Amino acid sequence: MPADARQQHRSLEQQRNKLSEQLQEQIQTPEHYEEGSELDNTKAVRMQMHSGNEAIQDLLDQLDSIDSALADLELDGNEEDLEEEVELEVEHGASIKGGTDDGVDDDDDPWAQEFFYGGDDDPILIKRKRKMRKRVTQIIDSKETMSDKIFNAPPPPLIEDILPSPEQGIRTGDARYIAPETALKDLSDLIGHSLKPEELQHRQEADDPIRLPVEIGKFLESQSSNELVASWGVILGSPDPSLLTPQGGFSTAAGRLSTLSVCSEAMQGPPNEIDPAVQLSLHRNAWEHCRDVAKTLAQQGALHAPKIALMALKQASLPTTNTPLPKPNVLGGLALEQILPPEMAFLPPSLFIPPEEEVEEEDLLAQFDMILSEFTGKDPFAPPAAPIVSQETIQPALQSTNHLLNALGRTQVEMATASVAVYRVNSQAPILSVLEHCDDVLRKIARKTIHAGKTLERSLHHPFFSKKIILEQAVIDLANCHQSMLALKRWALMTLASGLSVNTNEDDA
Amino acid sequence: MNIQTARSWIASGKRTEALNWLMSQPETPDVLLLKAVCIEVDKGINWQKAILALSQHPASKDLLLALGQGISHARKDLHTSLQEKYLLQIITVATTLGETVQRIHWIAILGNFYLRQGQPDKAMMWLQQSVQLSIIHQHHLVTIAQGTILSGLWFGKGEINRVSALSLSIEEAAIQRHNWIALATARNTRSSCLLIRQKEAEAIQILMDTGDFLYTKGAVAALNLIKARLGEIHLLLGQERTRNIIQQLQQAT
Repeated sequence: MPADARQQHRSLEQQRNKLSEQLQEQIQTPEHYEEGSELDNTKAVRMQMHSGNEAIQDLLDQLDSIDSALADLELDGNEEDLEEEVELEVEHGASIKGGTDDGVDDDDDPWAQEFFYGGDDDPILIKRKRKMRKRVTQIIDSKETMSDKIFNAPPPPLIEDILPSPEQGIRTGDARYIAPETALKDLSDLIGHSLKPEELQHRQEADDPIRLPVEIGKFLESQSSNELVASWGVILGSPDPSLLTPQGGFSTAAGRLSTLSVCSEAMQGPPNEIDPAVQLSLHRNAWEHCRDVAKTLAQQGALHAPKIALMALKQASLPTTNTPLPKPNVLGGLALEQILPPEMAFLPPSLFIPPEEEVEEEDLLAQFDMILSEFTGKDPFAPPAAPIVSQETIQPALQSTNHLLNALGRTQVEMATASVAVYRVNSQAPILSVLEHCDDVLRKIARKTIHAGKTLERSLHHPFFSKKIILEQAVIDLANCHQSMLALKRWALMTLASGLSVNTNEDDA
Repeated sequence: MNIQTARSWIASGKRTEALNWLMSQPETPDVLLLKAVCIEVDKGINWQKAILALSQHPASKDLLLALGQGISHARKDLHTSLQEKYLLQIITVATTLGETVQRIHWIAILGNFYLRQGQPDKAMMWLQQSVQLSIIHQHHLVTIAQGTILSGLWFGKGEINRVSALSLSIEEAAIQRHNWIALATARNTRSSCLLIRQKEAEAIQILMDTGDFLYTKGAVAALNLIKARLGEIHLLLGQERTRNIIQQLQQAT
């Protein structure tokens, strides 16, 4: 370590020691208040600085920044070159047929396959390797914020000795809305964290006491038809600074957010309908998980919703029912829609019909045409050639066919994702029967789509007018297949969500 | 065929038939209202037309319905000036019609609207009104939700007395609704007010009492909020000092 760095190191250590002393002092002797003296608002605000977390927080923040600077100093010079294989995407001169144009790369759509030739021309992406320089630095987990580390430093208070935890009691009234409580299980997540916006933005975990109510707010704001619920959803989803007032500490701020979440749910509707739907909307990681499973299964040619769900949940079997399925849950369906990625782009199927060859009606020009035909060796009296079905004619329809087949594959993964989310909320929900029905119907739609695609391909090089009706029917069939897929998806999501009400009624006392 | 038949058709799901008839009728307020219900495209514009026509007549439930829909579409279209105009109008209409619950709801929504628009001073009046009305009419849900927002605002301004008083109302409403999370949050807030006044023993006492109450209810999550605040007080006052206060409290009981 060079001399100036050593000096900087010493100076930082001195600052750290000084701040540690100040911190101890602050903890031992907070601002003194004389009993009975007048406390106006201004004074109260001033004193809040010393009674909330802020005073300690400020000192701890300073301490932490010094720690970081020290760590950086120590790491300085440890920079080394590492060879890292980086995949470069390079356009290839040749072209590939089929594929999707929704911007999703190959890694994201394991179901993407080329079925029919004649789709759009996408550049081939070649993976190459290169060397890059990489600095070795300490990796800080995104969940661990500056203040997390700080507040882990003092010895944990022995709260359990003073207030032991009971067994969960019978839920009545608003206590039946349990989704907001998911984030209030771990005590260490609730004590003394920072409420600074720059640190709150890093709170991304699904069960985080700040992030979870924000997500509930966003969901209810977007899906509720009740304006008061939407209004509370907006306040939560932002979240409004009034809820994050530092006075009262982190625990009270988390409490304010959870309180408003419970109220929003209660205003929206009864707990047995609303709360499971809200819980579903929070399972955003189910998609990524199922997509990864689907990648494995796609290689084995077994991209079926029940298999994906089974593998994703690591279960030997999935719950099913012989009784009729319950009434579809609309809000639950919307919640499941929210955890799925946006709908794939789909071009309405069509045919490219070249304009008909015109017969010249003006005598003089017609005679010129005849002379030209004679000179070029053609029969001047022959009628215009009948149009032939070319690759260009069926290309738009084949492109739609490819898109549809890819979308059908993705729908299998989406159904599995929805069922995984449902299972996580209620492991008794009968998901298998819905998944099997979806699988059956999706296969039928796929068969019909392939049939339409083959019809299109078989018509190649035939006179257009002899195949016109067949081609038009194929185009209609493709459009119908797309509609059927969308309808099935809507039904399946609402029906899967309805399964949440199975065997949960005993809680609604 | 008349407007009542069209209404009953719409109620029974025969929207297309009703719309076909409505399209052939002159644009009276009733017809415009029912058209707005039936037509799926440009709904916002259709509701605006209905509101304009209905506003020419004395306040009615139809106008209340149309304004509610107009507000919803204005919110989704991010048309804030229209949203504000309709919110002010709907509060007047609800007051005229004596629709108390609706009035409370729309006042609360207007308060929240101004808050999100970055106009806290304008918001304050409506937020206070929504809380006052909800307490008078025992609309506990609004008392809890709007009270929580308002207490946060007041706390930020150092209005400790008001925060304390409002927390008491929230606590009462929370007990009525069995909203233990709200109860714990309101007690945490009141405890913080006491802490600011350096009434440390009282601040801890209130948390301990609430903790005991929530223990008997088996309200685990709400109890965690109380414990978390106690933990923060430990960090603020120091472990020894907090422990001494707790021991004194336990001896006193």
